[in-house]
Amino acid sequence: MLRLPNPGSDIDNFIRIFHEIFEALNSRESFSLDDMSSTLVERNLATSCGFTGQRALLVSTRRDRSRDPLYNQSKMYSELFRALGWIHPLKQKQLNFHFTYLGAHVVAARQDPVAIFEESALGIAYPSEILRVKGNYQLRPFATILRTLGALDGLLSRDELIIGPMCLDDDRNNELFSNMIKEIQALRGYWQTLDNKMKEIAEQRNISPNTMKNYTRFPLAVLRWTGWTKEETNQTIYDKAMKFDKLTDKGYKVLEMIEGGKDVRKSDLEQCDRSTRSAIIKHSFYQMLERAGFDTKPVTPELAKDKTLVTSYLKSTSHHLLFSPFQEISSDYLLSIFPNSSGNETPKMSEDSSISATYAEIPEALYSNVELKPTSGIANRIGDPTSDYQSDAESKNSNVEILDLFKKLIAQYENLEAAIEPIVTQYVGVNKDVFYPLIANLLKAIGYDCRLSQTGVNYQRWDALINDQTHSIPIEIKSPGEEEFLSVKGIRQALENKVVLLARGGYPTEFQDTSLVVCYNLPNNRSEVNLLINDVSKAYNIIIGVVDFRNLLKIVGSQLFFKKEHSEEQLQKLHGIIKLSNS
Amino acid sequence: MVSSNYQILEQKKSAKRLKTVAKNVIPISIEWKRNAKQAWIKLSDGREVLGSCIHCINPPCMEYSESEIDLETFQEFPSDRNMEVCPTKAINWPQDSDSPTIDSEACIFCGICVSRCPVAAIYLDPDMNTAVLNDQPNEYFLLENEEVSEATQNPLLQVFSRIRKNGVFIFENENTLQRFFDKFRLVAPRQSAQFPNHLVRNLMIEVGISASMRRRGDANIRMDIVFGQNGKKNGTCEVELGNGVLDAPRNLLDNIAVLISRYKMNKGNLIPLVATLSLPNRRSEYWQVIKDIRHVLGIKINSITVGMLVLLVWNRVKVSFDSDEILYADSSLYTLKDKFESVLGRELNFKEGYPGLLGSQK
Repeated sequence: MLRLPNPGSDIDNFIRIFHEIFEALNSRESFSLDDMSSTLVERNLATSCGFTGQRALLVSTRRDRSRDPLYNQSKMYSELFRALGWIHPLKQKQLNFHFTYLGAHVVAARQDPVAIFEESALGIAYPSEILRVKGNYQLRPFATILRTLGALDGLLSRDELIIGPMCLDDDRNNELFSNMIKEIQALRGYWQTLDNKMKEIAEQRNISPNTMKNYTRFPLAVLRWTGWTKEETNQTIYDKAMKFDKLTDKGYKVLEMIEGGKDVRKSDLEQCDRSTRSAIIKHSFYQMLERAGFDTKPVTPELAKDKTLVTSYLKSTSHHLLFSPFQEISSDYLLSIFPNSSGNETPKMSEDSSISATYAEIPEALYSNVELKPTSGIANRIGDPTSDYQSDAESKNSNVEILDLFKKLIAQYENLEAAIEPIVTQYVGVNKDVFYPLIANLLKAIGYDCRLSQTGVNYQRWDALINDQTHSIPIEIKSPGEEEFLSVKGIRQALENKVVLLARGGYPTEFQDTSLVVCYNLPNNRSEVNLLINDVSKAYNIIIGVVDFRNLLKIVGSQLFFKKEHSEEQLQKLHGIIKLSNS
Repeated sequence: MVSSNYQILEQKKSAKRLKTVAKNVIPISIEWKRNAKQAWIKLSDGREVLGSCIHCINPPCMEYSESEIDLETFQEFPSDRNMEVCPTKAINWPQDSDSPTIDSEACIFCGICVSRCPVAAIYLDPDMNTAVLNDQPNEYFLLENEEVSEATQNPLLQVFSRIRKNGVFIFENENTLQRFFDKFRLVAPRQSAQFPNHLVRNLMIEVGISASMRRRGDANIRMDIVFGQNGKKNGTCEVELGNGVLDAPRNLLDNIAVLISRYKMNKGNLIPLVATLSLPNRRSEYWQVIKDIRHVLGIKINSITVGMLVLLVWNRVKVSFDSDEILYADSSLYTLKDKFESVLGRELNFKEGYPGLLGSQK
């Protein structure tokens, strides 16, 4: 499957970034990914870990470059710039680049940046010497997508784009193309059939459906930004309303141009003699520029010299060439065809372009320690899980069920940690109707007077609340159905909960008591959540604590089955992500 | 490196013919009259002519200059430097046309392009519910057969930048506002995800507030818009033109926390602003949460609607946020009508406008 990276779906911004990089780095003989990252942050075109400018560069840069967000972002941009033929890799160092003659024209296209971008998008073709990609396919993706749209009455859905043109092995094999169209036509009617096909492809190619969908972001953004398609909802093609990209009048005109032209690939040129090859490369490049609105009069005499070679290759005078040399052929060869006007070039000495190794890791996560201490005898805050404030019988039963299950698992594994995992798995994906009462009941089971807010009562902004004579705590709960991993949304809501509780009263609390967030999983990348908790405390002096489902189960299990009680005060003052320790 | 030895070709320029002006007469003022759709240019000899497109080389009705979208007070902000003036891309300049064209179906009647035309060639037509561009030559604006150049155009632009301007683009009433609202709801769903921020940023710039909008896809910066000018208060704006208005106050608290903690901005100098299409109704918790935030954190969250910004543009009013409660309302008040009239400098010519324009719906 065609795998196109997606550094961002805003094409205006994408082009702007290229302009900025060109402006900053074209005076160098070559530049690296680090140079790109530096340029992006210097010009406020990229951020990292919640920071902008030089601080972004510092927190992003890691020894392990594969984990460096800015480096990866620059790499994605570089892959697309290469696919578009705007930059070329150095022969000796594939991740160092120089700008191409085509790239310089992209920057020069101030009048109409869309037209040169359109030509570059149509020029993407694989295989290419400029960007080696996984897979062994022969594909001019955007031309093929437009041809597919044309063959399907101008309508194509995202999943059909994946199943069809993005998985086509050879777009010049008419039988394969026609089979691909027939396959999509056969899928139409039932959404489930389409979905099954998506799953089948995902399994065959060992990619998740979501990853496959991510690969469509850039092509879909291009189709819409160029005005070749418009997104619209269709109610009749499948048995449920679905979004489709619809070919516009402009899209049909471009399709007409594609179908009226001669699609040339690098492999075709290999069959030609050197003079013809050179003539085709030159003519196709300047035809591209001509179609993109450039005035090619200055090169007309040059082109006239070998026009007959091109005419003889095309076997017609009306055909135009659809081939973008800078997107398929390496600079070494092209340099001999596009000599500069002085006839030679004096390369500048390469500058040392790697950024100095001032590695700064992401700020240390803000963890808040809660100790689990042995109690003598029965913990004094153990509540009765069946005699609580919930009038909902179902909720009581589910509470008994989970504690029974917990007990059985502990007996089976003889280990708290091992007993927790099956419970965590059991609740994967559940929605708030199940998860909120579960959390409230777990807290009640260890003695807290935890009250769930009633559904539809807007003034109770929190999802649950620990009622206490002096230290009431609002709780924001994020069920796995809402968020598998906690995001900053929960932190924002916890802040609002605390403000509302302080303002409206009703439950005694102190400014310095925590506002709690209970989530299913902690985020993999904790920096944003962590930074925001830190920001909130610095700006408002309000503390927010985060407890995930596993750690909550650990607290409950320790207290109910291992006679180890947590410090209530430490939970009340929880600031940051909970970190349990035994003493 | 692409050497300067290489010949870089240039894109062909569209054939823009020069519009000159009649000699021996100078423009005195631009007048938007109460009962006329188009603006009139008053000339030194007493005549009046309609504003007509002069085929600007860098058309301000279509593109901002770099300096206009710069935000000097927060230069580190990773902004989307989209220079397009029309947030719905309704105004275009086809290669084969002397002047820009306006797509009446895409135009939402906001008046930004009208406000930016140096010679008042663009006007709002309430009958057609769109902005219209007048390119007809007349006894003052003369169409020549030569190509326009900066040398011929700049002196004329300078003259027009200095002359007096009187009147409003359109005198508001219940009808005009409702039409804007209806058109907006028709056109907005077809726009990109960045459209709400783009629209509000451009309206803010047009009413004199320097503003930057965030780049979409940059998950590290969550605030939609930052605004401000040197020597004046700065601010952060959450744009919620759909149903997410209840999220806006807490999102603003996030923004302010980030600005204080990471960018060392002064809390007292920051104005939080929610921009919506309609203000929420009284039953919404929005108003009470805003009151709670003021009570607990001392932060006054201001609210503005797109319609209010449009009214300011139509009335050519510039705004300066020099106080943190210019547009503050909460559950004790529910309406911004009086405060908005104070910003506008006069009473409005209608009671309510479209639902939620100036105050909560009951």
